[in-house]
Amino acid sequence: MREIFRLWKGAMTFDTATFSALSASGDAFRKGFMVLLLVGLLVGLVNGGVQLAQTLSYGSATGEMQAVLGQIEQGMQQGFDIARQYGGEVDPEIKQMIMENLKAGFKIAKDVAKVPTPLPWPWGSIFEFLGRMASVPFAWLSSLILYGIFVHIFARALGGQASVGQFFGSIALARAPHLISVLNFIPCVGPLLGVLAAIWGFLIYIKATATSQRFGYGQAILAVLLPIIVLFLLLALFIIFIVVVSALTSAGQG
Amino acid sequence: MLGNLWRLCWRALFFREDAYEEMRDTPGPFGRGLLFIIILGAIVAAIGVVGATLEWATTPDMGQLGQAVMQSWMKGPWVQDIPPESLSYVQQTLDTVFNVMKNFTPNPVMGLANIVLNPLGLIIAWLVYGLLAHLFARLLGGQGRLEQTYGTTALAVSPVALNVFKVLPYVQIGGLALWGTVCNYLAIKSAHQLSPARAFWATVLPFVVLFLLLIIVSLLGALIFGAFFASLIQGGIQ
Repeated sequence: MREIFRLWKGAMTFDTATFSALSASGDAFRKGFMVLLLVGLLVGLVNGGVQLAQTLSYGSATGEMQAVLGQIEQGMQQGFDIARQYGGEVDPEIKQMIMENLKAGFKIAKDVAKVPTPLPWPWGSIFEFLGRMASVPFAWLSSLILYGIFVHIFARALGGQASVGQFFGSIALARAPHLISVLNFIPCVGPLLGVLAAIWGFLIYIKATATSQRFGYGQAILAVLLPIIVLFLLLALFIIFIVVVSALTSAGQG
Repeated sequence: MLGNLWRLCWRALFFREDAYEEMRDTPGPFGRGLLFIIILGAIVAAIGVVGATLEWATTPDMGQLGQAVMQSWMKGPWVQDIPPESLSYVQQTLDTVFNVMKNFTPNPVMGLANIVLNPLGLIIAWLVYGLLAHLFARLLGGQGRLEQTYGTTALAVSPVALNVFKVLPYVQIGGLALWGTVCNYLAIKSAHQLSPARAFWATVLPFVVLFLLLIIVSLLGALIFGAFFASLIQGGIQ
């Protein structure tokens, strides 16, 4: 546990010695994964816990459904108000029709909420909280590995020397700043902190790539950005191909 | 022997190349690999029964749910505008939808069946992928024997162990297939002592072949079904 905290702290402060020691250890990916796992579980625990507390405050399955439906209705109403402010007022007749159908839909949802389950409310909500909490690190992991495969390929092509374990272990530390996402539940501040964590994490990703692959920051930035650049180029080529084919087809028909 | 297999699994899971090398050099890697997959698949599925049961216990019965939806829907303002024959069609469609959903909701019986089905599925995937990977590795200059390929690629199944988290209901374990692919790269690289670039292609090409096979089989299936229905329609017209 102490080692994980040390790694987390080293990653947060861009400490070169921490990244170098991690790469040099024979167990880099396990250590990096543990940091990611713990941060992910903590974020899931706090944010899911706040959500669960709110759910429990509704008192019953029907109460929970009522609250959710109330939020939807409020959102719709706000949508109509915003549209009116920008000069796109919805026809009152259409608005009334939408709201009537919405209310009838809500009636179905309320009836569905009354269908019994073998275990009573709130067990379902508690289990969903547990499942959601444990899913957070794995959701992070899938994007980390998917993008990491391409970065590693480009890094090796640019002269990088990291083994698979060293590279993935190092970039797993890029999730360290996301610990501040435990405050996601705070309105307005939460999303801003998320943006801050993403930028901080991106910088750690570059540091981790440079240190583990044993090359400069320029090459590291290039290796990290190349997958996106190549993807955009492929997309552009595909669009050009479609445009040329459709132009040729219409010219042939003409 | 089992203790050693678990230690290997742990190291293989975290991309330790020495684990794959040890499996490559061990006597009888195919048998050890097969045993490893059977035990791992069965244990993970057995743990998953807990999560599946808890999920089942907090999910309403699909039949009752379908009934509740239909009864409530029939009270909606839209009903008066729908002709009666269309109403029975809606009911039939809803019944079908909820019957299909019934098969996808977790339940303890399916969880128990997975104790057998999960290792079986893993073994089939391992045998097919291992063979293709071995062929490509040899074509690319690999030196490993088939049983070594099977031994090391069996260790690449290690990320499946993370499904132990499915002891919790509603959990989504993402990224295991990608993690397994990286493990397969290390497995093939170690078994055949290939360069990183060649090992990469030997890892990826089996997926390309399987994807192409899937497309061909789907197209053939569509053609056969199309021809069958066309003959039925023609028969009806005559």
